[in-house]
Amino acid sequence: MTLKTFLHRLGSPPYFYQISKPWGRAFAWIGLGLILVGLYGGLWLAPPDYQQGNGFRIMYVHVPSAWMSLFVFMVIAVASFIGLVWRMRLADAVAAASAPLGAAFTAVALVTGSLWGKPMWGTYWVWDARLTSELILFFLYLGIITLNRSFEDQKTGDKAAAILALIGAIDVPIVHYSVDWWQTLHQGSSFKGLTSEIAPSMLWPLLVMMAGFMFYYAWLVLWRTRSEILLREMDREWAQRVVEP
Amino acid sequence: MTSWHEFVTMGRFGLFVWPAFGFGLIVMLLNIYWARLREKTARREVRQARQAEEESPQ
Repeated sequence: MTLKTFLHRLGSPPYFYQISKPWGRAFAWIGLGLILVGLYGGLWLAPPDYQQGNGFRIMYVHVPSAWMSLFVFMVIAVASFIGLVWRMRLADAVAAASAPLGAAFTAVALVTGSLWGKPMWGTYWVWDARLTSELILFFLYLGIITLNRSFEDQKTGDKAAAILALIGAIDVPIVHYSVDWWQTLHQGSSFKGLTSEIAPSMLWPLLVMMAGFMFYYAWLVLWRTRSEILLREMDREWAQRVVEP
Repeated sequence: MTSWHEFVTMGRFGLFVWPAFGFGLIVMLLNIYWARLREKTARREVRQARQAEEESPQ
């Protein structure tokens, strides 16, 4: 099977439903393994920071969550575009499945950032560009979830949520570059392209945690997409067949 | 880390580090629970749709 044929078939809800389950299980185990290794490296092996002491270890949950909050929004924006332009049902399902996960990652980024900010800055919250734009991202996620579930007709809900996602995508580069564009209390980017100023002994657990979060998201988005597909195809014979006890 | 005491207290940052990881863990577990709940809802609704189809007069 060529890649083109595979992608074409992947767009078919019954085919996606059939092949996604084993992939999801594999992603779950890989994600769990990576997160455990990352936690061991980040909480035990990595040396304390010379300025922040052991407080810097919050980075191992904060940075992967913040990074995923942006990544998931881009997934939603791309899926929304595909759903709007090519009316691909699977893309609508992926966007709907991703939104609650993205909101959760954003909530974790905000709360852990706040817990990191208190001992470092002396305050849990400050209305600087990075924190404010991340909070706006959280509200955008809530808006997408609400719009998606607010209409009797699911297609209308998908369309409304997709439009908000495409407009809201402008917040993603604002969040990312806010520390470069404005004077913020939040520290600058730890990564400049593929290079980082973080010491290797502190960096590797962070990269492992980020990979673990990515696999965790991949597992859950496949699981949730399968449910969204069932809800969108409930009148189809194949969907009724797969829920048979 | 040089000792279990240092690990538990995180120097003087334990009150911030552990709640951060705890909150992250709770949200990650809730995501799994919500995914399970969504699947149950989807399966129930598909079964109801099928039942309605079977009961509707042709």
